Amino acid sequence: MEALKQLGQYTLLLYQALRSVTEFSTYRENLFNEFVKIGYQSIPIIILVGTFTGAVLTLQTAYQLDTDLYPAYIVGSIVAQSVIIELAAVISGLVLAGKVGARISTELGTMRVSEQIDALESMGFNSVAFLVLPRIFAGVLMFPILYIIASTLGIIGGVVAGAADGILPAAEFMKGGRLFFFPEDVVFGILKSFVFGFVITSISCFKGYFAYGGAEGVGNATTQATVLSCIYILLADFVLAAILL
Amino acid sequence: MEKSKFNLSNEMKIGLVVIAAIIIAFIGFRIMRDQPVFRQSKFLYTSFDRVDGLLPGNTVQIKGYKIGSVKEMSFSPATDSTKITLGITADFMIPKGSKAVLKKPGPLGAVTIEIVKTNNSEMIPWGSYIHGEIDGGIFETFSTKGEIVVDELTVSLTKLNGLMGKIDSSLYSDGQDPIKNTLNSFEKTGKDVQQLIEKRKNDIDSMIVSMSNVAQNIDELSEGNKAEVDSMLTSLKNASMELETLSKGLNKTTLSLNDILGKINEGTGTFGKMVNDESLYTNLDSLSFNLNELVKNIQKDPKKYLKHMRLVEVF
Repeated sequence: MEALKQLGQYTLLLYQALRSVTEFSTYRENLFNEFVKIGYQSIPIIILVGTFTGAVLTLQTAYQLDTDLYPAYIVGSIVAQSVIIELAAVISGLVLAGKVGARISTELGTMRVSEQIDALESMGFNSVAFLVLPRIFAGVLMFPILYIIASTLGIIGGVVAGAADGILPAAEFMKGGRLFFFPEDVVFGILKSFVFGFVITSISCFKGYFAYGGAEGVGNATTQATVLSCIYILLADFVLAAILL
Repeated sequence: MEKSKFNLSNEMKIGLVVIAAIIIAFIGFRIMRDQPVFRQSKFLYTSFDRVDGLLPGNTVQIKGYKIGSVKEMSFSPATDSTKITLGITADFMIPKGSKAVLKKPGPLGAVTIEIVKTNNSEMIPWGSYIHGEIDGGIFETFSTKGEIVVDELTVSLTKLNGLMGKIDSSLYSDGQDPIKNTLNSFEKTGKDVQQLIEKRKNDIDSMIVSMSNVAQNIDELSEGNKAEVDSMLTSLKNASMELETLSKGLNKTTLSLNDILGKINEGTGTFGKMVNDESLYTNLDSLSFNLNELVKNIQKDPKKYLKHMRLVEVF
């Protein structure tokens, strides 16, 4: 019953946000702010995540395929395609669920329990357009960019790890990567990151916007926001793979 | 809104991120599709009837050296062939009359396009069409060479037929069929053996029965006299043990005898002296001689010795 009520609230919030898309002057300032916070400020952790994902995947794939049955460049094929299709989007999604999702729900939750949102409403501001919409927008638009950075660095990390560890030279790695490089995979990855951006920001906004019960309530809202974001990222990942592959 | 260290406005930061992402995506795409990042590829076109397994990104080689890759493929129903766009990155030009050969190295290798050069000094300009051929690897070799092999086989078979005919005629020259004869005699032998077995069937049967009886008897015998056989074995065992003690005693005796004989040899003890000392013998010898003389003398003149011998005195 509670879940059904929450689904209704969530849908209503999204509807309100969508309805106020035209009020650009209300959220313009916040939108650019969120672009910077979600996109620009997440680049360091995305660089780290992308590079290490590719590097670790290379070492472990080489360890698993340590027979003479396969040519060495297969490692490159596996790493490049895995990073492009799955890992760059999902792992950065899970990391950003912690970084971005927690920040959004805490911000909105604190504003809710300190009655700042009520104050905005009483001043005649559309609080959804002012607070929720720019965050969701920023998430949806910035996540694909972060995905591009993560996947590129994942492949670079794989090349470097493979060459540094003596598994296979960079040229072999790229030969393998090119063998199974399909532009559709990149489109698929970008679509995934779109969806993950929407899932993380909308769930976090929803949990923060409807937080109640003081500091403890904000903590609960943040916990739920990150946990639910992670769960729905994995769910969305599965659904997308089942539908589109 | 907090100011960043480099005093960049939010718009600048966003613009930077977006441009960086676009550049990264563009370069990444070019690299992954094996296209030169900053300069335009040079193109050549070719077409193949079949392109089994060829994909965009497969390598284009000259003598095994990579000079580019397959860029685009499009099948045209009009010519019933696939037009291939080859992106060439090599710095040199390709001579006129060169061919593009589609190569399938093996069941697992990737398909490649090999440019077979000619020695023509004239070069083809970029963007022109070169002739395409298919070299199908092992499988194709089989199917093309197959025809020649079949022709040769036909000839061989004809020759073989002739040979068989000759053998036939030489075998059947005397109007008989040797193979048939051989088979007939084999058959006859088989029949004889069969008849023999049938004739002596009763004997063989009774033989087998009596053999089994014998075996059974032996079995029963050994079963029934088990106790006796056991006791026999026990007494044999005892006997052998007694023999052992006996042989031990004999051993001892032999040792002592040896000892005694050794002593005799050495000349110690009565026997030893007797055996080794000749004086007794000499004495006995002279005694017997003297006795002989005495007996002679008595015979010769008994009165001389017997005058003192009186019967009265004797008894």
